[in-house]
Amino acid sequence: MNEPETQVQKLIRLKRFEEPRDGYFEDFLEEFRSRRDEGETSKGFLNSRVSGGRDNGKWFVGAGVAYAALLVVVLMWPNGPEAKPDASRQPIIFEPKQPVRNPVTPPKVPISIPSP
Amino acid sequence: MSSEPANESPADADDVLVARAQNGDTSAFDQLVVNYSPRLYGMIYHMTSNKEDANDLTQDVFAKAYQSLSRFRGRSSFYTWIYAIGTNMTLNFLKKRKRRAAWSLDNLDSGIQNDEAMVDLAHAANPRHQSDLNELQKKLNEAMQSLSNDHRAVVTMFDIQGIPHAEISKILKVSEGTVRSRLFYAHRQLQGHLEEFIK
Repeated sequence: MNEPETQVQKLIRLKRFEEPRDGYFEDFLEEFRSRRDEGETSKGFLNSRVSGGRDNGKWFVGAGVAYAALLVVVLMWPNGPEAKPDASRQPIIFEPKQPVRNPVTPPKVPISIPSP
Repeated sequence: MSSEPANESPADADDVLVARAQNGDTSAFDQLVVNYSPRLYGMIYHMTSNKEDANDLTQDVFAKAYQSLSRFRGRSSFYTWIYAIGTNMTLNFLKKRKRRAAWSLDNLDSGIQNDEAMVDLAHAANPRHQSDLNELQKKLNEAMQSLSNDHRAVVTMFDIQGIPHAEISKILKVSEGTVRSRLFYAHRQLQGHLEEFIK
């Protein structure tokens, strides 16, 4: 190994002195025990934190899709002079119910189903 | 409190603790947490350069190990097994973090500015350059983060934690040649980033 690499390794080895505060690992064990006692070892701390951000992203995507769908509906809503009246937009008129004496039934047309 | 004989090797002691933990003895698993949390936390911290991430990930690694302990058959040592879990989870986390737009090098932690051992060693490593420790640590972190995750993993385990090549190859499930090759390229890249502290 040449000299510059040795110097690099010496510098990088300094990082081993980066240690958490005193008592950190005692607290760490307590935290682990309480998670285990509460049956939370199957839930990830970090995954929930990281995927929490991603879930927010999914929420935004969902909202965007819903907005786009709403926009399409609004743009395609028939409101021009040539537009066919929409039954759902007609005023509802309530009329008193009268007995139907001669109900009109559509003429029966024989339906022939072609054999395969 | 362990009741094992004093002349037992650490691996044998681990085997006993694992067997007890597999039989439902939670205090045995607690002892494994005590034994391995400093090293695992160190590995994860140096991989992520973020204390909060390192804490949560290390908790998750032990949680995962606890959940999977019944499937541990002792084909490798417990140390290798839990390190492999830790490395895989950390690499997966780093892939996800990379996609997080908000994360940047500003999130890197620092905490050794006043460590006397660090001051002495920094001077010994670099006597000609009386660099500011904050600046040195910042540069070290940035240099580490400039490496790919795979390269950072081998530098962390070999250079910082002193794990032998053969053990790293078992943990990462790659050949020893690959470990050496990754170290070679990582050192070359780090040299470029830390040039001002080496000259």
